[in-house]
Amino acid sequence: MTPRTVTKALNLTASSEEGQVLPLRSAALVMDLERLGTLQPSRLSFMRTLVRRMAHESWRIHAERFELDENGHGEAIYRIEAGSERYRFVVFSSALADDQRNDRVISSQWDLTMALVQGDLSEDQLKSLRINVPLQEAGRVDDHVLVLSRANRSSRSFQSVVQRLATGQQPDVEGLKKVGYLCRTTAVYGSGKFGMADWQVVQSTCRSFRTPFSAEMFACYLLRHFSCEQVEHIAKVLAPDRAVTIAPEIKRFIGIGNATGLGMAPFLIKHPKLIAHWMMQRETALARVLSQTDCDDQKLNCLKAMVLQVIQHLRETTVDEAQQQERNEGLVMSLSHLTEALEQPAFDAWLRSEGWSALQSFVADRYGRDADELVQVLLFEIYPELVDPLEESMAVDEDLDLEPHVPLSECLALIRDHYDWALDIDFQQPDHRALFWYRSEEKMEPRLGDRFFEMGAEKEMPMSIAFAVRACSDLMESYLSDFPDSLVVDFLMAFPDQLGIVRRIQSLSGLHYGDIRGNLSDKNLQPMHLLRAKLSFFGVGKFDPKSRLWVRNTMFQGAPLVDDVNCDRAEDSWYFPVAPVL
Amino acid sequence: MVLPRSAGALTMRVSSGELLAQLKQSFEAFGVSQGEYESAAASVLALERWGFEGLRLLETALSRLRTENRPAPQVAYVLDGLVIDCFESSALFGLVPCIERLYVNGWRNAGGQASFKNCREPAFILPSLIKVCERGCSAGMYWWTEGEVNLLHTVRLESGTESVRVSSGVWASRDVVWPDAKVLITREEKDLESFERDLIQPSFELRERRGSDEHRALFERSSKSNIEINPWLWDGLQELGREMLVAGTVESRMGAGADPRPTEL
Repeated sequence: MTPRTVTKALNLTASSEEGQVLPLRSAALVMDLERLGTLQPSRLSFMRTLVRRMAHESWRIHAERFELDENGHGEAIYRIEAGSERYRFVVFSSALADDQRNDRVISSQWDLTMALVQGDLSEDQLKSLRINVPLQEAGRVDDHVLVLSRANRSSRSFQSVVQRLATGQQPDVEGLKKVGYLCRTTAVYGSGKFGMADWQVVQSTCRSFRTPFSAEMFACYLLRHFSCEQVEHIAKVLAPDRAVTIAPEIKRFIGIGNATGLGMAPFLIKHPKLIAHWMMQRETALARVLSQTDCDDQKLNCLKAMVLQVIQHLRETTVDEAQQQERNEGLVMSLSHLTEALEQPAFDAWLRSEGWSALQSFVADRYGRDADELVQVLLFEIYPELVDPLEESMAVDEDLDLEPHVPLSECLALIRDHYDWALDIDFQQPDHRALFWYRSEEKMEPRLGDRFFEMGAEKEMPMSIAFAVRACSDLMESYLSDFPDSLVVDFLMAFPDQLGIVRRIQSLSGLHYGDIRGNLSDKNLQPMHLLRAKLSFFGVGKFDPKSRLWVRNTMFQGAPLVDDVNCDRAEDSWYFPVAPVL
Repeated sequence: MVLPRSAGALTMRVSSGELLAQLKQSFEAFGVSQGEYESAAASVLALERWGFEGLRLLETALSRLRTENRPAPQVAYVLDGLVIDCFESSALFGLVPCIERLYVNGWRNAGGQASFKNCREPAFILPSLIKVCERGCSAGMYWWTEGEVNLLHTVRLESGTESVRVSSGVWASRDVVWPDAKVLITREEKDLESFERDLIQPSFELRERRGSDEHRALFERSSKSNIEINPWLWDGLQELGREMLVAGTVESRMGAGADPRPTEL
């Protein structure tokens, strides 16, 4: 009997489309928490992938029921035909007082609640949805439901757009630059919560939503569609003779808002293999692109045009937080310099001879992380044929398993090799252990507390991988000094409470990108970096932090409309959207 | 009418994902370590999916588990394997390292056996065995449940090309021949056959036999739809899980960042 071994020597390479071996960036660089906080949406992001799928597979989306009163309250049902599959998107719109409109998970009332349902919808199902969907976390649904979500009208944009439409005017584009949405989601639930279908079930039975979070993204996409139809409806009722509908160019510039807090962070820690895999796919795309040397006129012009578009996009982005504003301004400056460089004949000639990897090194060295990550995703756009094939394999087996037969000394060496960043942290320093993550009894909302001043540290969530690794490493060293020839299983027999962290360490050892490298209990932790990393995989834009703990952002701004999809004219070029000029 | 969340309904269905998450949180409240509560939660779900009534087993044990004193199992190394004394504790917690020990012994010695003495709900050992069999070995296990009729439960786990093949049998007997649960890990299927043959006496009456196809079908079916659970058990698990939540205060509300006041004002 030979034990299966999952630990492998790390070979930091990826494959090109033709099977050529390509170098990958190091985990120390890629998984660094601060760098994760600079990730940008890319064409591998789930929103982009979804829209491409909708277009390639000619989805058809039509309102089957649209029964709203003069205030836009009532219900709507959309029928989705995606190949041979059928889905329904059900929206309930209710009256909500202005002082009840809140982004927090702990809220209990919303303007809109909605569900994405698999298959046809019976009257009994609809009755049950009418009762339970508006309750959100307090309700129960069945496993025909794939996604449950809610949203609020934006106090800044919704009513003003209604008023303008009712007076025959188009929405104020300047206003939409500041708030690029009419409604904002505050939670999007899937993956088996509250009785919904499990992710594994969705993956295996819903071909249309076979990639991670595609069902959740689709619910947001249809919410965006509904929000536009809703304002048009209210305006029409208000002024039947004068009201106009939103011009398609402007409508495309309307996205859907999203508010995200700490709730997103535990996912990144609880799903280490998935996150490592997402990073691997992204880095493989980068390695493929950087291996290209065909910097010809067409590609260089494409890059220049994209850089100019990003500059405009950033200039149109309004954020309150000083640090984010500074970063956006810094990016604009860097990209402006890059534009100038790209126009210089000597630079142009150098780039043509050296290829894209030289450009990436130049940008990273000269302009820093933000510009580095941004230019990378622009390069993705030049080579869709190298990047897009990776989108179908974003899911992974997340099972963690032990290798009990491995000598403990090897396991300790593995820790020293892969978790040197964790071992470098001095946890004797109170600041490095200051924060603890916990679930509040208020809707189990994840929160951060100060270990030395707040109650509840004994109920800490196991978020601090660095600390757990450090503690485990110390125990291993001590055990090995007494039992130098021991195996991992001997150690676990002596210290069964180390089972979880040893299983994690061994399971991630064969992956190129393992754990996120950051101390999540550090006093100066910026949880925003975690949120941004995950949101970049979703594909959100207009990143607008409201504190270091929560952020507003915009989804699907610039994306093709449902009408575009229905008429097979959905384009895939909606990255870094800019305001339309009418 | 609100679709019953739990109480008041005769049955309810939960997704595997939410069941697993709830079990982890509830078991965490028992004060066991992360690795243990994750393994225990996965055990309950795996037993349920493979057709071994993990939830019913948990239901009968839950109230005792809340207060159970869980001493570490004591392992003695004997000539033909391990003897593990569980001190009347449930097999739900604390036995993963022992199973791994057995696996390593089996790998080193071309097979290994263990007796689990004074072990409650020994069926909870099975998922850990399935896990080690996924690495390429085979295993057999039996245990007794005593009652008006004593039942011997036998399970065979064979390493397959794609997944583990699970088959099982239940035998009735007037006498409990060997009170301990027994486990064998091996690479030879003939060892499993002799393990079972030595065990089953001519006087035993076969009550139920499930082949690997039947167990696989149960597994596939339960993996594709939500799982039925007794609402009272679900409520009990939720109540336990709440013990891991920290009370909400004005200060703690700020610990989630977002402004608790109405937004955009």
